[in-house]
Amino acid sequence: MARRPRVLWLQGVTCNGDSHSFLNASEMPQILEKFHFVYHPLFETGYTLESIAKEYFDIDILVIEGGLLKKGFKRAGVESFELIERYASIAKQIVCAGNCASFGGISRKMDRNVTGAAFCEQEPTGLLASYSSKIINLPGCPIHPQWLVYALEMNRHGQTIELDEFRRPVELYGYTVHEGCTRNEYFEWKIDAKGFGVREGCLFYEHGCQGPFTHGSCNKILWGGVSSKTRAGMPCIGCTEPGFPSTNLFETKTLMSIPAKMPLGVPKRAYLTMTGIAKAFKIERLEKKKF
Amino acid sequence: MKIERFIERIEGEATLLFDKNRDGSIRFVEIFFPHIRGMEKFLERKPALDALAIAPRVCGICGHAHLVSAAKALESCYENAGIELNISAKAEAIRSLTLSLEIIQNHFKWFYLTLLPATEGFETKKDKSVLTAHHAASLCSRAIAHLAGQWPHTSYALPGGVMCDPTHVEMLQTESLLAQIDEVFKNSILQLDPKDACKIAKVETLFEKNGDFPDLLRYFRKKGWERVGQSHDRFIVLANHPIGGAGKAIKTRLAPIDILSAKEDEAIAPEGFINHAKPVRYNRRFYEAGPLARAMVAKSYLIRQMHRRYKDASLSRITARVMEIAKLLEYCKKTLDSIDLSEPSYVPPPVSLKEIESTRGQGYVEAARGSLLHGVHLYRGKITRYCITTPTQWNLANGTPEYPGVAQKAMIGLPNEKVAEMVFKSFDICSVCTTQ
Amino acid sequence: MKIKTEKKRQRRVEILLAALELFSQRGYYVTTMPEIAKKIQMSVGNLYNYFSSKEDLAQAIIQYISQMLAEKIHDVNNQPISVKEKIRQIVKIYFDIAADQPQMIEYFLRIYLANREVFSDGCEGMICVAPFMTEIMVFFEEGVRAEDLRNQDFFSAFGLFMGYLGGMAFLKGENVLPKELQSYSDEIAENIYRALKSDGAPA
Repeated sequence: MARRPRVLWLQGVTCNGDSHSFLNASEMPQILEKFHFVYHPLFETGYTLESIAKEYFDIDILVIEGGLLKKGFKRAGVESFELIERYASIAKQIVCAGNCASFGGISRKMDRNVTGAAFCEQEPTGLLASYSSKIINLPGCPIHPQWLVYALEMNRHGQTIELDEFRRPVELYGYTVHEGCTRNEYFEWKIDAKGFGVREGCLFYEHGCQGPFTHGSCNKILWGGVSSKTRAGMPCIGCTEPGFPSTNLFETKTLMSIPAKMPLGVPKRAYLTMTGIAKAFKIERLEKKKF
Repeated sequence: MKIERFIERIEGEATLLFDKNRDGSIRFVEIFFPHIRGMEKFLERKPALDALAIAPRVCGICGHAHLVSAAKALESCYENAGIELNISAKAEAIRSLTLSLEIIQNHFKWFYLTLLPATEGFETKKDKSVLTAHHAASLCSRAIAHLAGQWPHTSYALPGGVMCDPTHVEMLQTESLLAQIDEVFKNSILQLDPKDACKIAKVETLFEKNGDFPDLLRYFRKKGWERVGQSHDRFIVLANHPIGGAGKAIKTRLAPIDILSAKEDEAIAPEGFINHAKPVRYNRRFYEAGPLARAMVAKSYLIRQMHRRYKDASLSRITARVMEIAKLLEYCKKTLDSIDLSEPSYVPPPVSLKEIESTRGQGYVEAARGSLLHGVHLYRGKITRYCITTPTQWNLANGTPEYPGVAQKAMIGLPNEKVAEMVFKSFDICSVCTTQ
Repeated sequence: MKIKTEKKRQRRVEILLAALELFSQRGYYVTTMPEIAKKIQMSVGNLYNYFSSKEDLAQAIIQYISQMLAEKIHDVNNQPISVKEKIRQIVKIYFDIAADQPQMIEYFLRIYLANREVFSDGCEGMICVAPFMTEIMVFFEEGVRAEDLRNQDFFSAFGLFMGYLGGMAFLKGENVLPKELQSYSDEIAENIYRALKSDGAPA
């Protein structure tokens, strides 16, 4: 049997949400078999953070959770950044689990000194930018467990992951959250949900849903294998994008009734023409609430 | 002699500074959380509803409790402005259901990933523990996802109700998941149907059962640890919850509470140490929050019996938490059954918060680790002040040697730091919540 | 083949313009297909080769007008000029058409808006004026984005702008305006700008 890839999971400024999300991976028994976790913040691995800080373990994959703060955040007696940087230099691949590690995320919103590993929001100026070439970003707040499983498995199989401009895997983030949303037909015909707590209607026009311009596969690779925020009735809040979270998240920003942000890659005129036409028709099947 | 000890895997970390007697026993101990993220400040100037998305991100394991607290705090903003909201029984039940599921997954994780590894000498299979915690937690998350879209970090509750509109199929799927969680419970922690577990009336019966929890009980007895971890014997429960009501208890004497008497102080630390955990007290006295407090205030027959023998020792604390799993599972099944899907999920508030000049509100829930309180001030729909008080702030508050906090008191006098760490972890600590 | 198609296209436009004139002078219902054919010296049978019905023809006319206006406003939108200047130019475009080709405006006001039943199948809602509406929306959206215009509901702003221009064209059509329509354009552009501008925008 080939040597199991050694994974070290270190944290910066975080809420632990990515660790907990990862623990939901349905493939956990297989993951523990195929990968050797040198350290994980939630479960025992045989090593303590203190021993990780004292020694120099040889690792294959460094998983970073949380934003990076150069100074003022000690863990096990060492600046957490120092520890992360040490293992960043040893690791063959660095996987940023979640928006904070990828872009700074909400941790950066609270403390402007916090950055992501390769990026600081949209700018490629994260504290570990010099290691960019081996960084893979898996933003999300939190990360979807299967996104991380994908990155781990691609590594184990020696596969190269195609990345977008923000170093996100195209296979996972080459789509929008809108794709696969069960409310798509309502989007097409411009029929808003007109309130929360309903199965029917789109959340893009009035309720702030960012699905049409947010990169992610939440509606293709479902959460818990069963649902997603938009399916359940909650607008997408754009948690895979640099700069997350924006503000006024449950209301669509409009300029003279026109959404301020267009669906990804759709020119404004094309959008206005299409929606103008869609709006002209009254599709009774969709307009009339079934429930 | 002073010894620093770094404590890991408590949803982050903390540092304990032990002051030890010559025989190695603990004379005094101080607890430090050296980092703060700044959630409360970040919420200022935000539109009120943004709290629903931001507040859950205080914590990766109890974010849902933060969501419900935030939603309730905003609802109380309406109430305090004289505007009545109509929350359907269905919405209340769904919120309570998902919150309970979050508590259940927490308790499993705490037992297998935090407590057992901290119990020195207790034999466990490492991978089996991880997988049991994983299995229970992922089933809970999936059940929450049916209603709330995902876990962690959903924002599906809002003033007026919930955003979901489940069908009978999703209800049945949730029920099926609850049955699977029952199985995990039965195959691991306590080899009984949760329904039968709830009927256990004698402490001795628990000791005689099979499962990882009775094994641990017997181990505690073997080590003579039944009474370790006793503290002030004062309990507080700020919110009504599935198993009982709000209130406080000094030993077994119950009294009602006035939420205004719960006060947060500034965090203190000796020179050279940084601490960001603000202590919380009730009428200037330290109280324990969490499952033991809930069971004591709810006058749980079994836990009171345990308390009669061992007072508020770690063993009582652990038992209360494990037995809460069974009770919550039963509650979830009953609640699921009671939901009338024809009721509205969401009744829009009559006005937007923007239309209210100035108001304030408080929202509190019982989270996995105890009482969680969110306080908010609004001006024309914008947050001007946000204050979060977490359960760990009750339990881990630092006091003085003369007047120690709850966890401090529980550790003082213990024979060594190893046992102290176990007692410390019996509180189920959340570092990230404390340093939000 | 190409020459033939081009010729056909030209012929189609000729039909549109002739029909437009007849419709706006005499009304939609009174005007017949044979009259239109006669006006451009075409057989009725051949006319039906171009348009399958009078409704079809009426709808093509509104699309033609919308397209023509859209192209002109598109050019305005693409210029690097202030919102105020854009308004001035859009007003000018509208009034020039109302003065030089009054039948276009007449058609819009008296046929398209007044006989909605003719347009119910194929011209639902704003479909047949979509190119024009798109450009107007782009104009408003960009004005708000640049913080020159006050953010509000689209139709509140649209009604103020187009309703005003339409009203002036109507007054002109009724011959109640003492002066030439174009002589009002600067004042009207100023009024529209003042009504729509954001609080912080330049005067």
